[in-house]
Amino acid sequence: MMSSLLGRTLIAYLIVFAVPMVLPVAFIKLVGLGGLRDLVTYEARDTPLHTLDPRLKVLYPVAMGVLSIILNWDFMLIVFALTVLPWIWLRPSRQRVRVLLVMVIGPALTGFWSQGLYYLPNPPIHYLYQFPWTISWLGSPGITSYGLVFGLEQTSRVLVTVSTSMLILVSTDVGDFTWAFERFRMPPQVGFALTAALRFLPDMISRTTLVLRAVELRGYDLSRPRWYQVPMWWDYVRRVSRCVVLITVPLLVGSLRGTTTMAMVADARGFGVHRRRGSLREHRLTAVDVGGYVVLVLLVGAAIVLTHFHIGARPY
Amino acid sequence: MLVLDEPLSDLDPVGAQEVLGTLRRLAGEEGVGVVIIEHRVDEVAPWADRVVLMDAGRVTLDQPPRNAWRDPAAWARIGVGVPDMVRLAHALPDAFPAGLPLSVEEAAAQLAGGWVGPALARAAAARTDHPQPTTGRDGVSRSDSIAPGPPVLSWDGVSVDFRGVRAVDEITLSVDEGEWVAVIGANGSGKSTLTGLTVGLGQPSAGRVSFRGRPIRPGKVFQHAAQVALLLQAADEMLFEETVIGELAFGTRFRAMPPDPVLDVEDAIEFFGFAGLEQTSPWELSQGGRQRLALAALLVGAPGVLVLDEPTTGQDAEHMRAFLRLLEAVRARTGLTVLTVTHDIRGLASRAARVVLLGEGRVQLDGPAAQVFARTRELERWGVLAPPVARLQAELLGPGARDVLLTVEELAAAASSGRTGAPAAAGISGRP
Repeated sequence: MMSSLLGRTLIAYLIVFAVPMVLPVAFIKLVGLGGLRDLVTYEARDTPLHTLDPRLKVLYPVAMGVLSIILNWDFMLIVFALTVLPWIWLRPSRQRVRVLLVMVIGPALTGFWSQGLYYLPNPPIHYLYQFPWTISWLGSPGITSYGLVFGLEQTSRVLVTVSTSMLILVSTDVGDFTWAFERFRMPPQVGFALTAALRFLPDMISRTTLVLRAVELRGYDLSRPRWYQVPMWWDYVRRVSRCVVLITVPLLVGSLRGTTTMAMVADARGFGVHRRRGSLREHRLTAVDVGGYVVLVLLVGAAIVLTHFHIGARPY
Repeated sequence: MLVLDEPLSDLDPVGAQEVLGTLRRLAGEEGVGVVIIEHRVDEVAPWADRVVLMDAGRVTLDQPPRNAWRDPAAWARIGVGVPDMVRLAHALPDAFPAGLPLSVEEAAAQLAGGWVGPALARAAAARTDHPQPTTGRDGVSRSDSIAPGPPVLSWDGVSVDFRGVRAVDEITLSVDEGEWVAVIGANGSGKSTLTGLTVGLGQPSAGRVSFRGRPIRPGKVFQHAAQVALLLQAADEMLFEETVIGELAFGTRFRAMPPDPVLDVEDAIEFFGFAGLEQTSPWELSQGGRQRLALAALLVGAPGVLVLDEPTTGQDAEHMRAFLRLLEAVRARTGLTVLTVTHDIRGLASRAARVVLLGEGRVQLDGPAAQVFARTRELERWGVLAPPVARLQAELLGPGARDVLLTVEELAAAASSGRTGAPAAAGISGRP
């Protein structure tokens, strides 16, 4: 049965469509809009990471991202481990860990799986599972171990930057970012733009949650059918699509009002009046900061030296 | 120079006093000029050095506070509120020989030793001679004026936790058919969480919430919205259509309507004053108009309960009075049960038949407004200031007062009748 055309077709369809079907469900069930907001909002806590020099925190994801690009797979694993360790130091809440795992494992699984299907090495190709003609017309002749490994490598490189950026976002107040950019001699507008962008996503998610709640309070059915109520899913998709149209105007009006308010606040607080901006909090270098800078410089320096001697360098 | 635009609008009364105290210190000790644009005149009046009244873009008055309210009619014409103590002084001019008081403390100091205190005591004794039945918890009784209907909403041992923090703590409460209940409390006391549960917003960690005996299922907002109409504080977020009539008909397009709704679309257009505006965009209406539209749209159909979350926040006295009149008219027309969450103690909460005070997620006081607002010290302990008129009575009669009068008109009438010996009730006029 399993080796018949029908059986092989079913298995192949399952391999191809399982991940794209599971990921949205996992996102809705385990993350949702509220979870997404948690992912990028600052969580005020008393950890050494929170009090670290904001400049170091801005440099850290950049440096780790560069290392993830220039180093080969073996060394990449070390870099990846180094990006995971600070999370243990941060001790995020259980809710945030759950969201973070879904948001990290989801894209990782997507990269791993899609490269396994579509990245084809030079022949001879070793297939883990070769698809029959009934599905290979979709563009993938089968799933390969080489593709999976390649997908894992690429995903890990992306995750290094994603993980370090998330770490910094949840442990750094947006005002500290502005301060760091100021000290990097960048125009204050850059810091302000970054601050506005960082605040926009959580604000937008909050506003969307509120408007969706209001739609339901007005009698619009957004209840989700259970997974086995297949005939009802089409109606659900139709209702959600229609709802997107409904909520667009209040969201747009709310966002424009928010933007106007932000502009008024910037003017009211005298943004741009003086060349150099003052700050309530002035960060002074501590021993932990110095240690952090030393580790970062050593890491980047070591990577440059090693790659110069063709150790750990990525083959091109 | 500090310019603050409605800085108190989302604050509970005690929080508002803290902000005003800080501003006063900034002005007094640091020499910072402070300009406050505010509708809550009762709270701001004692702190201000100058009062500027504006109308249609022009300054119509600029005086020290004691002079500013010499002619309350000028304020009434524009629709801006006058502090209660000033109104009382105008109602009882011979009781305030030293001039207009701006705060409860000033008024009490002027009235101390005068005729008003004994007159109010006599009026209070007369009310006590005709006691009302006591059935409520915490020693606060419920008045006969509360409609004796069956419970329409009930919370049985309900607790709600947010990430390890208990927002609502084992609350058992019920709201009867036709009642008007105000839920008050400091910011973070659990008011909105408690009322949100009535439409399935939020998940109780313990207990049961029910509507007419049937459990309310968390997350099933759409289903429960047909029974319980919840008007959010951000009423603008509840408008989705391109025209007023589209907005009113919104609910009828998406859910089954009862055969004989209390208010259908045509009724709502007439009743809420949208005749001739049917094809107007909701965004072209004033803020008050948009709030009225959101309320009308919720009432088309047949909700059993209307829940209002801070409906008068940021509104001036005239708009607030208009909203209260509308609410009274809705109740008279539909007999609807109303549950309001509010910081507006002077306006909205004192109008409700019954007041529930929440503190630290628990019910601290529950009873008729006149009796709950007599407990000024307990209210203050939980971050709430009673209406100025109630606090003045507490100052004059001492903490033992069983109930208090809630409006300037009632207080002035009771004082006058207590002085002359005429029956107090005969002199009590309607609330403004």
